[in-house]
Amino acid sequence: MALSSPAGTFGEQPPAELREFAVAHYGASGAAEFGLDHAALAVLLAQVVTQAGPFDDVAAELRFLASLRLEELVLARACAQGNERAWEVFLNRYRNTLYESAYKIAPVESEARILADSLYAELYGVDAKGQQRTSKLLYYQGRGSLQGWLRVVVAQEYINRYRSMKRETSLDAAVEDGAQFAASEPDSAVTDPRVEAAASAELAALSSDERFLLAAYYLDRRTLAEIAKLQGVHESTISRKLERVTVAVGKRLRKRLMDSGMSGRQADEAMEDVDVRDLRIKVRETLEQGPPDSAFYPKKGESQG
Amino acid sequence: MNDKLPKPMLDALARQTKPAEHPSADVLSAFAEQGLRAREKELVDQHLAGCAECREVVFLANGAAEEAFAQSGEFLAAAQPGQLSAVRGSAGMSRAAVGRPRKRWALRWVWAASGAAAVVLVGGLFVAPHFTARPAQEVAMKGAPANPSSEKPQELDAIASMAASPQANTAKARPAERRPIAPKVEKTSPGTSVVVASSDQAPAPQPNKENGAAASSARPAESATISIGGAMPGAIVSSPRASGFAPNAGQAQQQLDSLNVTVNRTMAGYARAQQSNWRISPQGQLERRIADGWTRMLADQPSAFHVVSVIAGNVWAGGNDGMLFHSADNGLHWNKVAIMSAGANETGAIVSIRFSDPQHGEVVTDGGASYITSDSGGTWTKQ
Repeated sequence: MALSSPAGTFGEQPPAELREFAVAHYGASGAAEFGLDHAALAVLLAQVVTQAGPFDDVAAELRFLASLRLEELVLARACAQGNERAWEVFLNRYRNTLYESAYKIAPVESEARILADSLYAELYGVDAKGQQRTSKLLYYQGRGSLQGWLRVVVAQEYINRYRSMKRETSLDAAVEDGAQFAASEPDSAVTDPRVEAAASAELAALSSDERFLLAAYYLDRRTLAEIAKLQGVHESTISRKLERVTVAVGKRLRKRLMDSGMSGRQADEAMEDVDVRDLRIKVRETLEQGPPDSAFYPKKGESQG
Repeated sequence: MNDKLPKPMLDALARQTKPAEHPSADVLSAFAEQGLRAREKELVDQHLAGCAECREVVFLANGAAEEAFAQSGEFLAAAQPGQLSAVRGSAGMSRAAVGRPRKRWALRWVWAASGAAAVVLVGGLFVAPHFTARPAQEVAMKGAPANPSSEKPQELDAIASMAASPQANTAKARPAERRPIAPKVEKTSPGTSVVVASSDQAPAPQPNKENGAAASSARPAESATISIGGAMPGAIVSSPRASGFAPNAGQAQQQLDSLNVTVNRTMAGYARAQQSNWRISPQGQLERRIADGWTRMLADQPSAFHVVSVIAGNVWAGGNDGMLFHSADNGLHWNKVAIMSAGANETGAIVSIRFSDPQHGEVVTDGGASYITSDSGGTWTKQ
């Protein structure tokens, strides 16, 4: 069976270390079950290495190869090539994952079903008109589990669809969501340029994982548990880290502001500026508290007459 | 988190330039599974910090994986022996359950409910002696009740015996000094065994001297298999009620079982799956572990199996074309079960089987049809 990448057939002879790796792991990869020989497996590995590289040395390349989900990678490629046996195995093992991920991610069951069906067609490699095209499974590189990859693909597809549908949201729905109370962009016109510069400098000084943590917690309002699960650590670890980073950022930002010529009081006022996101929450909370006890709303138990 | 990020920092975070290129699904899934090299992880962190869209993707995907693991209760389609993808708990959810994404606070409610139950029951430890006049020692040696319907008083007795037992008090007051002890098993009613032991108990059960019969094992023979719904036998040892903080009798135990079941699944799901005696092979074959090897069962069936569920010696296996088999003797004998709908047999593939006890269960097909039974599969009602 000839393997091909999305760009075309891999024509070059794979390096010796890749061929040796393919021979050593041929049995464990399950390639024989789908009619792939050693050479085809080596070609497949070469494609993955080329996309993930470059590597510092051969040892690093071999470590990378050893970390691949080889059996799942072979299965995905065999499916993409239309191998019936591979599809049989894929359906047995992953069909439920695909559909159940869609049911968990999409809030409406009918949407979830449509989402999963369309993705299934893309994985199979046909479009809505039934014309053959490249299977999405060709893009699976074996870096994570095939199950995890399917979930991410479902989530990506859902967000793409959600974004396109969001433009069609009615005004009433937007009001219900409190969207009218939110400012979409920070009002930079009234912001002291020193504050903006200090904040940007402070943000740039943070490590990438600290920025991700702050964005996930404060911008996306993800819970500590969600972040901890994603990072593979305990919730308390994230809580401590977040507290440490938040406190440190506050102190350093204040110092930067004072270094830029602000007084301590000015710096404190600049840092305590009201956040529009908090305003939005307060408005929503107020609305959700229900009608006030006024003459216009009879209390429970009171006679309507 | 009481600390608040200064507003200028929030603005700066929101102002970050959105990257033009995004990591592939492959890289994002490897990121979520902690499978990236340090340099790659840093790059993805950097991207995610500025890309709300990709953050949404990874959290959505990871949330689905989280719920799948939390709901782990069925053992599906193992690719190869020992492969991680063997844990396919998500299929254990009914269509109704998966149709709406579970709220993230749902799991927290389970913890909160478990905690509240523990507080109530621990409170009962101290309150119950004031309402029971009988000596605790007498109660502790009591076997099956003379009147089976008088379960509630016996429950209070058991609480009283726990509260008054010097051993229990010592275990609570000085947990570091707990040492392995054999579990005491009381037979309270047919099919119900009560474990009175610390969490580090020895596995050997102690015979019930009063009724002369061998008491049920604290870890039933099925504990290595995956059970759906109901109490998790394998989790009894580590559950709060087995560690001296809660009573071990009757209804209270059942309530705690139901509260803890999801938590137990979360914590013990993978471990139990690894110990499972049943699985579906990648080829869709039903297999049973016998003497460290896997033996194919129901080999004469042409259709592929999708799911196997085990509870209290009852094994249920479902697959394509509405195929459903039941064994009441742990796989020795099998009966083919027909699921009828409007006079015709169900032909959809069975993708989920959940039983809360040997009588009550639910199966779901890939077409979304759901059937429940309350008589061990004798009759099915479409939902």
